[in-house]
Amino acid sequence: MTDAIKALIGGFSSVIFAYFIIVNLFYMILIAISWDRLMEFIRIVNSDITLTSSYTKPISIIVPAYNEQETIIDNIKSLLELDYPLLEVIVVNDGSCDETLSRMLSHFKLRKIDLELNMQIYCNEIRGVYSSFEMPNLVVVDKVNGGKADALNAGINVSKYPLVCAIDADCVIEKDALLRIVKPFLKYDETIAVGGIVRIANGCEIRAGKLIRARIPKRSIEIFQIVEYFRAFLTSRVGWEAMNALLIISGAFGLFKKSAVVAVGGYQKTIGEDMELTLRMHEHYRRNDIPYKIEFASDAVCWTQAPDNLKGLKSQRIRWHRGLADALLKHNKMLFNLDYGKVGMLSMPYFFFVELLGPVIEAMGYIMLVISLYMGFLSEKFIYIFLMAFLFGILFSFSAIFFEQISYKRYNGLREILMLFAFSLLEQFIYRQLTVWWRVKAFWNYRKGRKQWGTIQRKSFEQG
Amino acid sequence: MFSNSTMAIVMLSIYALLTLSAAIFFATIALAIKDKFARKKYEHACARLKAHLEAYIEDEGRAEELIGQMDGAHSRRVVLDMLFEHARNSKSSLSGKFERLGYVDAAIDHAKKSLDFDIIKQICIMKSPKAFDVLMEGSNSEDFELKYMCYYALSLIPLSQAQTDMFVQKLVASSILRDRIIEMIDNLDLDMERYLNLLEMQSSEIGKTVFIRVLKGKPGMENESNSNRLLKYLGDTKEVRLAAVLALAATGSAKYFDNLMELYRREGEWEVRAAIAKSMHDFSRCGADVVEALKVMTYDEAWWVRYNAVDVLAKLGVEGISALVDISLSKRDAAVSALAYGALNSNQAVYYTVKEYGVASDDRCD
Repeated sequence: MTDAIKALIGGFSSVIFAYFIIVNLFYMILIAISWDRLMEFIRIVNSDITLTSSYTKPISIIVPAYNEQETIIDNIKSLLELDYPLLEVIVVNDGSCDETLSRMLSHFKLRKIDLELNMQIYCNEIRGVYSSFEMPNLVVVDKVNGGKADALNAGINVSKYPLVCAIDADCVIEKDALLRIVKPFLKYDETIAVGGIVRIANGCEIRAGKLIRARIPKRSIEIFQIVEYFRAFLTSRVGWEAMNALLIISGAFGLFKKSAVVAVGGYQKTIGEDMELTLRMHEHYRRNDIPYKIEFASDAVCWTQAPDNLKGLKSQRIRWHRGLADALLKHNKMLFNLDYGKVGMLSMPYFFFVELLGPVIEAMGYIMLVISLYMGFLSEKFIYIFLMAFLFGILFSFSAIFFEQISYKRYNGLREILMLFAFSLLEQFIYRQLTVWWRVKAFWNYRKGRKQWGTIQRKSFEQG
Repeated sequence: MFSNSTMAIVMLSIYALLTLSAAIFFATIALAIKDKFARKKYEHACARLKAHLEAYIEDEGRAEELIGQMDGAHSRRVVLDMLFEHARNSKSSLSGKFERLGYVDAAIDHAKKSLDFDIIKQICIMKSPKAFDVLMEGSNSEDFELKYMCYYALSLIPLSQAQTDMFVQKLVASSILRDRIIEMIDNLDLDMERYLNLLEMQSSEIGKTVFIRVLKGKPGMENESNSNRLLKYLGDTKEVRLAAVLALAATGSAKYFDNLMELYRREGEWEVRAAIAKSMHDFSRCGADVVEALKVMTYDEAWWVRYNAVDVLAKLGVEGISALVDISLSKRDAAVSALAYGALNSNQAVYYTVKEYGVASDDRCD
């Protein structure tokens, strides 16, 4: 029996080892591509002579809101004060149970208006559209609850401009972020979507919806997430964007050509509606041989509230992973399909085998480690391989911090940088295993998830 | 479980990963420290050179004094940055001042050897006509970003007539987006006659469109001898017609009202008709019967034409509002009536008038 288990573990170990080597080599290549692209991007941004140009394209900002009474007023105020020549802010109240709608109506003195809607995509019944003469560029839509995707579709139907920007209600957008995120649309006609970078607002000094100073938060759980976000955006999305194979435009801050969103039928009611839409766009444009670009603007910054407790983090990660599974399985025909170019041959396999299945494989590794330890045949070799896995994790986190320091330097105090490095080391223990466990749970139960709003408890930014 | 060779690879990888991680860590820390010192050094140099630079800006004759203070590449860069800052803030051309300190020639030499974004930015701020050749050369680059920046920089530096012709010809044929070409041509800031001549030299749709759009609303366009030269473009392709409609309407001259109405009647493309409807607002002060024209347009088959017509009517004061009331009460087309009602409801003056009337009625009831 022991020999059989030993043989089984041995076989599995070889498979996992091979998987692990391939994945990490691939990730190293991705980091190299990201480095090249990020440096080029920074050179362009730092020397952009068109930054002072007054030429832009009008944008409709869509803010889907569900029980956001704590942050919604500050958020709207900050959006209305963004540096941008022509924009409208459309807040879609998706049947909130709290005072989100009433607070907006009374604070901004809004009144119900009759608006002829250009219903280009399906959404649940719109109960009313509100605006004011004093603030004509603010529109509040009240609709029957239907989830985030449905709220975004309602916003698109109400919007009047050719570019739509989806923003989460708990985010703070930097004043010049729209001017930056719109740049690809002014250069390339084929641009259909651009994602902005999402940073963690916890610990930052934010007043009246504006970021005053970026700071590292106090709680460990928040600092771990800062490192994770660096990795996700600076060493991953930048690389995928360089290959025009970026599979996700974050729902927190993304700018889309409205006609492109309408052409693919708008957002679909799913857990990860942002990723699903991006995948559908890739599929549509590649299938029909229409030239397109999906870009990432790492200088267009959105600050978001990250969960500050385990319950919130668990809920978020489970939702994200279910969203990932749902979106990938819905578009699995692109997987290893040459017709879909780099999306089919590189990013889809990466997201499928690394992001989706990775936690399951990693969890199997941990189980084998425990069994080996329990049965007394844990070899030194096995430990070395685990050590190598952790070192790879540390290397990727360190690279992400380095990328941040060489590019945007938002946390430039020496103490803050040292803290980020320290937490990159600590992340490998407990935090990593915890997130792996949640993702494994989400993987097995992905169909059980509600296709509705997440349940992170919002706080006002001053409080947070 | 694993062969010795595999384990050798593992061990080698562990050492490599440890070394690489340590290198990244130390590089990041070194970078942060270096940045801190560089900032201090920069601030110190700024403080030292500021008075001399200001004196030079006031009086170019004091160049030698400033040059005497510039000991090395670092202080040359500091002076350059401060001059850039001054040029940006004062929105003036300091071309001669850059030239005298040798920055223009140095930048052009650098650009000839290796053209990069930073040097294009420098050339652009220096606004020296000497940079024309190197930027034109750069606009042939296969790197789109580089090409794009070169075109943009060319639109911001002073050019001779021949250089402008060359630049425009190349720009119009380039892959740069149309709206951006319009902006660049507008940046050239030429006189009306030059713009019109350049327009008449264009044979492509994009060439005509961009020039007509640049001309829209330019001072001098209200002069009929200039605006009449756009009339022929009302018979051109869709995009050109659309641009011509907007440019002619922007003059606000009653003369063109009839031309546009005639075009509206025979126009097959809804985008052009929608532009005509929208442009009616520009004729509201010239005595033309804009309201009657818009009343017809509110029943156009295309939604955008109807929407624009209703939208403009709502902005035309009492006469427009009265027309909207009639349309909203009419039974001819329910959708158009609803559109008109919506426009009335979202009109501030109408809203407050109705509200006031409502309050007065309630008072009487009491």
